[in-house]
Amino acid sequence: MAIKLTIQGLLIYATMALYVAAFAARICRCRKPAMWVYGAGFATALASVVYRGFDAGHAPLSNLFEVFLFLGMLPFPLSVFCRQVLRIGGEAADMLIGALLLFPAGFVFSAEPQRLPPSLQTPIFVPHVAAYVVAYAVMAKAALAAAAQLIRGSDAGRQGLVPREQAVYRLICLGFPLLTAGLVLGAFWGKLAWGNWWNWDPKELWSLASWLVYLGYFHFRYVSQRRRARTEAAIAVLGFVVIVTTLLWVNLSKLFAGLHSYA
Amino acid sequence: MSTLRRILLWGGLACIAALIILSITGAFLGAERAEELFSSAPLAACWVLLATVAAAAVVSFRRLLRSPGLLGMHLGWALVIVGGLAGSPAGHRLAAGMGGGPKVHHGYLAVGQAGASDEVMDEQMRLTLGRLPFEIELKSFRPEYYPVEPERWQFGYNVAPGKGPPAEGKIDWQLNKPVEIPHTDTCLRVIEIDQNPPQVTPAMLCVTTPAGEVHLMPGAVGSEFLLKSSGARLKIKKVFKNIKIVEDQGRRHAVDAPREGDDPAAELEVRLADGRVLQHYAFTPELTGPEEWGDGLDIVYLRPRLAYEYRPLRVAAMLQLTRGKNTHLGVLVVRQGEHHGELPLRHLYPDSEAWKADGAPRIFLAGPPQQVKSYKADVAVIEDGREAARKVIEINKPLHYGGYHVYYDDVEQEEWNSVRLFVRSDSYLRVAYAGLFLLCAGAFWHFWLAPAVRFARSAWKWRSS
Repeated sequence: MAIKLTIQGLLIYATMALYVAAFAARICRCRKPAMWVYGAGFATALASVVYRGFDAGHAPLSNLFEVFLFLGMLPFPLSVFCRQVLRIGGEAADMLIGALLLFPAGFVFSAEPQRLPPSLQTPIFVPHVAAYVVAYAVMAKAALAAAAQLIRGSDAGRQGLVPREQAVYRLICLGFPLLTAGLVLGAFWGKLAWGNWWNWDPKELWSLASWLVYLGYFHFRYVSQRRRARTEAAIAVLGFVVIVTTLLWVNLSKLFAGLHSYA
Repeated sequence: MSTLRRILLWGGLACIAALIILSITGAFLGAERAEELFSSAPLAACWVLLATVAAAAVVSFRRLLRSPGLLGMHLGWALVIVGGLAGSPAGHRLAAGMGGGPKVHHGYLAVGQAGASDEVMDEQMRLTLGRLPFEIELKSFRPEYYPVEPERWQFGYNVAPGKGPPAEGKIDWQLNKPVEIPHTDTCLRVIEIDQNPPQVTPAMLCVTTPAGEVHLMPGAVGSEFLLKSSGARLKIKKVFKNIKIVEDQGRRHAVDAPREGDDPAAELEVRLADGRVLQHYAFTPELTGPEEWGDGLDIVYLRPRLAYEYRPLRVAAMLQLTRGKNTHLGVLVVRQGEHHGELPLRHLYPDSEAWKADGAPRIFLAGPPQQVKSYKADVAVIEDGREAARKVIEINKPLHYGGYHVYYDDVEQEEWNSVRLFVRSDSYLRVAYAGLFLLCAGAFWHFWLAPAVRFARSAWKWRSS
């Protein structure tokens, strides 16, 4: 673990501090100031991502440091979209998750800019990775809502928000097409770079497994006629566990060496 | 819900659960063994079952027919499986057995510079798997590297004087500024650092002004150069491959005798600021050393140099080295794929007795490891003796011809002139691509666009009412 005393590092720490401050304000029921501080945190996170892009000379999505940096920018727009469009709350948790997501970027992964290896030099690189990263952020929120449902049980919704079971479903509906896009774009890219659209690489197989878990969620929800909300919630949590494995374990463990090892 | 539909749904769910477990198992096995597992006969039967379940669901559930998104996803899933199975090695064998003609599924081609091959081999390049209906010719191959900032290149010295211990260290250098090489009586001036220099360095004139500035100008006939400090203008009138001074009727003049030797030189016209025009010759440093001109200029002619031997250059540093009255112009090079180059200072230290067996002091240039930006292989398809297609293939940019995709795969590092290409059949690729597209488009339609359209319609109705 190392502290980054650079502009990049300071932007990350400022974002984390703002997210934590927003969270503190939110649990003290200062809703408006909390959202303003949260918004300021998003602006700092955006600046951090843009700075990284200029510093590295490419879209900042090529390694785990950049992926977590990008993830740290997503909670605010996701919270606003969920509140305004999907009628889903949970901003306080999003604020805290935002700070936690930036922890690996701030303290664990190296921020040394890397040049893009030849295989990443394609227009598919950004949409493929961005689709996955945004999907992961959405599924993380879905998993949180599902965990709340598992712990606290179903609710009837409050303050114009949908019930937890509906929230989980809506979030998975939002994230699933992005997961599909990531998988399909990866297949097209695999054909261009490696000669085959499916290479049985460990990362591909874990990605397929996470996609299948959510596919199973929809089928189970249909076959159970929405009468087994707790099982549905458990599947949503399981899906996110597989996602975390896909994102972290596969890349960090030597157990899963493969074509995606550079990521 | 009817019993058949219930069975189909639970069957589909069971297939999904089984596939999740198999995917995770495959991830632990690694790509090679996972491919073997998923291509085995029992699992091939499972794939067929999965495609059948998806197709049966389309027939049995009217809801799927009414919902374009769900229909697209289910048909897409079935097409992906069909395309994958038909395009697999087993699918190719089956097609060949049914009279479709043998077609190599995938393999490797080794092609040398200006060579051609149609022989598809296995990964170890031992077994011939088959032949392509055309030949692939390698016109050229070149790797491209990311440039390194000049300041990241570090000059150093390595001296082994007779009495003292060997010494090695860094030289604190700046462009065009003379610095002393520690432990020696020699001055180093870095005139130019050229990254990814051309394979052949053209002839140059090196002009040193009385103020110590060093300028390089092209050594071709007609090239001109203005010395801002003195206002003098240099122009090359003639270039000699082998200059020879001959006397004819009491007059001495220069002639070119290219077959008799190798002493290149240039004839110069120098127009001074006061209007005087002088004529001079610039010789190579090996022939005469730097020539001091009447106005204090040192001008030497640097011959065209073949920099490319077996591997292109990564960086070439033009250096001026001065020891007492002796000045030597040298080029220190680092080759592609390396990050270290050396230049012994033999010309300045002919008295090698003063130095240990290693000889004269040497300076070296070291840079950060090289990072490849891209590999570019210029290949042509030769069919019936003529060039049918040509493309510079890179990673992510394969060549597609005659039912095959041709990819850059690897290069023989020692020679840099032999490239390994990967070829793969494109049979049923369109079926799989159509399935992938339907899957993705169906998901976006069903989960994003259809609800948005429904919402927009209800909002419109509500506003209208």
